[in-house]
Amino acid sequence: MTGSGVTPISLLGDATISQLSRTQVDVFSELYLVYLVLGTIVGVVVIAYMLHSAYKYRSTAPDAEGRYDIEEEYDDDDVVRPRLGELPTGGKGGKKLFLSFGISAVLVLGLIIYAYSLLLYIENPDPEEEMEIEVEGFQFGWAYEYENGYSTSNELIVPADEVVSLEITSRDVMHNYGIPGLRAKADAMPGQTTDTWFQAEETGEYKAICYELCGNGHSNMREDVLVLPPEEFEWSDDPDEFEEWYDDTRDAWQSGELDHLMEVTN
Amino acid sequence: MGDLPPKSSVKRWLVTTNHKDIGILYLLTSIVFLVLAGVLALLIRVQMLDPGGTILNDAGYNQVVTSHGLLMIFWFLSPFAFGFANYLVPLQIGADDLAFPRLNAMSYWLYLFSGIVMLTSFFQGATFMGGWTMYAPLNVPAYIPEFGEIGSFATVLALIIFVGSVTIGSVNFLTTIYRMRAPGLRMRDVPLFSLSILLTVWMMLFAFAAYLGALIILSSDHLLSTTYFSLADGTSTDGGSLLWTHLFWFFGHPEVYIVFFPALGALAEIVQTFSGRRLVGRKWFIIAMVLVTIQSFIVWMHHMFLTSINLEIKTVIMVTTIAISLPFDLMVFSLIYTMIKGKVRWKTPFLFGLGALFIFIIGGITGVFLGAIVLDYSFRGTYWVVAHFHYVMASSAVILIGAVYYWFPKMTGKMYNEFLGKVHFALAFVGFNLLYFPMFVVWETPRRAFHFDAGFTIWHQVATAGAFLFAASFLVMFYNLAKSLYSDRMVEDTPWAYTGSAEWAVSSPPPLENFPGKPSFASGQLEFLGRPEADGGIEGEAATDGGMTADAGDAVVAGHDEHADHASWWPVLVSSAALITGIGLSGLTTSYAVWPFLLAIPAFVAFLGIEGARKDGFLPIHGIYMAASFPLLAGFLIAFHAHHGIASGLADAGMYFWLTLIGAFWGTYTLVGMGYESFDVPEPRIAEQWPFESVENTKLGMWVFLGSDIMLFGAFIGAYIFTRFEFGWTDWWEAAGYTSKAVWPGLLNTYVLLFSSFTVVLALHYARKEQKWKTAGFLGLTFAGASAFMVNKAIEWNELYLNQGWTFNSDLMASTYYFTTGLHAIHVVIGMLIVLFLIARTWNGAYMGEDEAGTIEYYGLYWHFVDIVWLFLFPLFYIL
Repeated sequence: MTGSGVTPISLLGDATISQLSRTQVDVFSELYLVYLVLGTIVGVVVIAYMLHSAYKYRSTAPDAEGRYDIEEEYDDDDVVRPRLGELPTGGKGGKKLFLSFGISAVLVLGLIIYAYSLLLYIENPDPEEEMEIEVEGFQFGWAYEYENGYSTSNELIVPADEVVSLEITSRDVMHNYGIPGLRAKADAMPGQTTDTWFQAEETGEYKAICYELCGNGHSNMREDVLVLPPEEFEWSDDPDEFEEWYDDTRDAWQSGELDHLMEVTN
Repeated sequence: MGDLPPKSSVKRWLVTTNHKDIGILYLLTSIVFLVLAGVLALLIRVQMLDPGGTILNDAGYNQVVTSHGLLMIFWFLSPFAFGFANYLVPLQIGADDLAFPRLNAMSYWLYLFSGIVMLTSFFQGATFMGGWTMYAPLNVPAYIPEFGEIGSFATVLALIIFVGSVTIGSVNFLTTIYRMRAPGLRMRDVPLFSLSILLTVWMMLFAFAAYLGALIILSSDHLLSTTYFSLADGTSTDGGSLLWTHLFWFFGHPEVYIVFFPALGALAEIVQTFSGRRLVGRKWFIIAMVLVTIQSFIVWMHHMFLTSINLEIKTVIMVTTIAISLPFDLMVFSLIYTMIKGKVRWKTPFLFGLGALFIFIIGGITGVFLGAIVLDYSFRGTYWVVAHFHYVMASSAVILIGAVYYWFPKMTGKMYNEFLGKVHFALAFVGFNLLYFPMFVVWETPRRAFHFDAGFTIWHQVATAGAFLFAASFLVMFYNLAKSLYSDRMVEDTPWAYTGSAEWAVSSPPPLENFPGKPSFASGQLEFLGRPEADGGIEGEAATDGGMTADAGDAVVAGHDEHADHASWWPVLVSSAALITGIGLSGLTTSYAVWPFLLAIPAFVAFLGIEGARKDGFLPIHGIYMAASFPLLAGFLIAFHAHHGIASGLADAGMYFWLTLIGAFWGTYTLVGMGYESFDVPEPRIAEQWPFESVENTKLGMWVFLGSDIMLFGAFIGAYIFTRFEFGWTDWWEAAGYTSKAVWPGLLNTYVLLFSSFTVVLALHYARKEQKWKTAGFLGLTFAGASAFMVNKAIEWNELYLNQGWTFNSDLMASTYYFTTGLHAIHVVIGMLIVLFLIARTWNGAYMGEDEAGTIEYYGLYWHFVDIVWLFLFPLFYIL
């Protein structure tokens, strides 16, 4: 994903906030549903057909005395059965095989082309403006840096309805930065930069979780992402001013004063 | 060496080189590892019983997760499959044994001992705790807690020894399947299980070589403090993390099919037998498998969709990934259609096959989810992945359990209890799905985290219950098989109806020499052509519809006259040296790292003389070797004294140094002993050998081995080029302060090596003409050339390393330079040691004449290869 290159402008409760019509959550949910429905149908059909065949053509010959498994004396059909010591050849049924293979191929290809079109959107959402935040993973937490130069760790505070673009790296080992509630995720690798984005439609508390084993603290590497209503988010180009607001907001949130603004809670 | 002791003797199982014995050893050993890894899995599931489980702490949980994965994938799944492969492939293709029986035994022992090194790591503080993928730089000392450093490195070393076992095994199986098929058995006629093994070992050969490269690089960061993944100050390198993901997944993705293919082959045979129908579209089934084999090497980056690879690469990899799923569609349909119009008997092996197919279909469909990159973004690092790959990889375990029931009667001559077999299946199938299906439901659980959201609790508890049910089902199998072994349910040739392949045409268990006569498909049907010896009485029993005939007059059976050896101590002894050295290296410090191996050089030369004198009678060359070992030893002591001081150095050395020393010493002794042992393995005179009719077994084996060595160097050179690109190609030498790095040492060495290649050719020429002294002389010149190369290199390294202080961990340039050219230097030294052995044997009159000169030719192949590698290294490290 590449950013639109728009320089940061004031986001102070502005009515001109640009939104994307579909968030990562929307795209994921839609695609997942389609795959789940089709996958379930295909799975049920194939497995049912398999079990049906295995049952329908089960041998009716009784187990003979002293033998473990017997060949039937006569065949009621013209199928050639495997014989001991033969040079193996294939059985009949190739036409059917290719027909079902063809159907499955078309289905899979269709699904993947559809998925690919959504990937192109995800990779390049092209919003008119976006808020860029740099994320750096470390053992065991996340450090953030806003465009105004303000950096913090622990919580991330962002406005709702705004496209937030993340540039992710790591200062030590490999991590993976994911906010499952917003369907944003990317590897955090030392020396490399990856990116992803999200646009939160609901305010509230989300979790930023590490999804790559990164050492003993990995399991507890879960921190908060706080999404505020746009009008509550007070952006400032001055990092000191922003820091002041940030600290106040964090205190207010921790003491429960912002609970009424939270549509989503952990 | 001699004949085999009876099976009741312990010695039998230590010295045997027979493929069936080794198959049994593989099966039993891998089941032990299954139980161990299974217990670890149960620990995970107990921890996950409640959201804040407390039976394991963070380091404990990470160790359990890591070693569960490593043990299951490396020490259970593949070796379990190769237990069957060892036992069955020669039987299925009509061979007496594998091409290189001693090496086969060595594969097994290296496997067992690598597993012991792995298990030892638990008692060295802590085993590796960074996941089976071992992502960098969490895998280097800078990021491993101190209490886990030795154990972590031991795990890496265990994997290296394991790869050694795999590589030897791959060479063996490839040579066997290509060169030792019964007459009339074309490649396309090879039974599907053996064919799946052939494709598996092709993948193993290349994939594991790349993995070996990755593991050696990692070891070097541990032992020699090179800086591929973390710099001298402990910070991570810019490219190291991404480099590891490439190296690892280039191996790791083919590994998925390496694990699955043998099971797939077994499944095809089970479905065919119990459906009483030939496999539908057999030809296409094979083509599909071949396609997967090739494609498996171009999909690895789908494990890296969230790394910094760009959209174009993602697109290509998405396409190849989807393309590799389609052949599996075809195979699944082929298996299902085979049941139609069949005589399907719902015996235990078939139930497991059907159950595994059920599981695999779910695993396959959920894999298509992961192929859609947008979904993969969210699934990454979650239980969706865990559930998916267990549905795929553990389905191969389920198939192989079916294979146990299928071939148990063949291997033991006894029938298992059918009712208990079905009970096992019911418990296992229900347990399996209870265990893994809930993981799809609560897929949002982060993978490898030992706490989870309280809302998921019920599903994790169901999974835990399933895990215990699944585990308990195996107890039923153990009881059933143990009881059946002592039952009176005897089995003759085949207990099953509608079997096809040759293993069912011999008695159960098959005799030591496998077949009652020379097996042949020349008439389009398996026949046993009579052997002249008195044991011809068996052949009548191998009855089918009159296909088997004895033809005592046929002269082509002469191949069976030669006495084949079946017993040797050396495989287990050589491998035990790997065990000792492996454990020793795990705790060695950098300053002591190279010394044990330097001491091994005088030891090797001395042993060449001593053992040679014992074997061939005392010759002047043996005296020369014995005498030469003293100045070499003195040289070693002087060098050691200069670095450590002999008295103080040895006093400080510590246990791990001594262990490594003993291991290296023991290794040289046993290798020399194995080299001098005469071990007769007659090649079949008449066999189906397309496409390698004109290449002897050993030569093909050497070619195949060199193929894997190319991959090893490929990994090294690839790592160098990758690192250099990440750094900035043109700034590279300047950054290291070498604006005008001397070219001439490399250029000189290029000429020296080319010269030594030429002298090997001359040595071979004169060996064929039976001119002993000229042969020895040109081998000597080869040795001299190699020595000159090493001396020149030593001067160069001395200047750079000691005088200019440009050490292994100075910078990335030093690490890649020393380590890549160092790997080549090690190849040169090994080549020099082998030449010494060849000279001693030549002196005794070996290798003379067209038929005998082969050994020198095979050595020549190796030596030319080493020279060609240099032709790549020279421009890469001296000119560009």
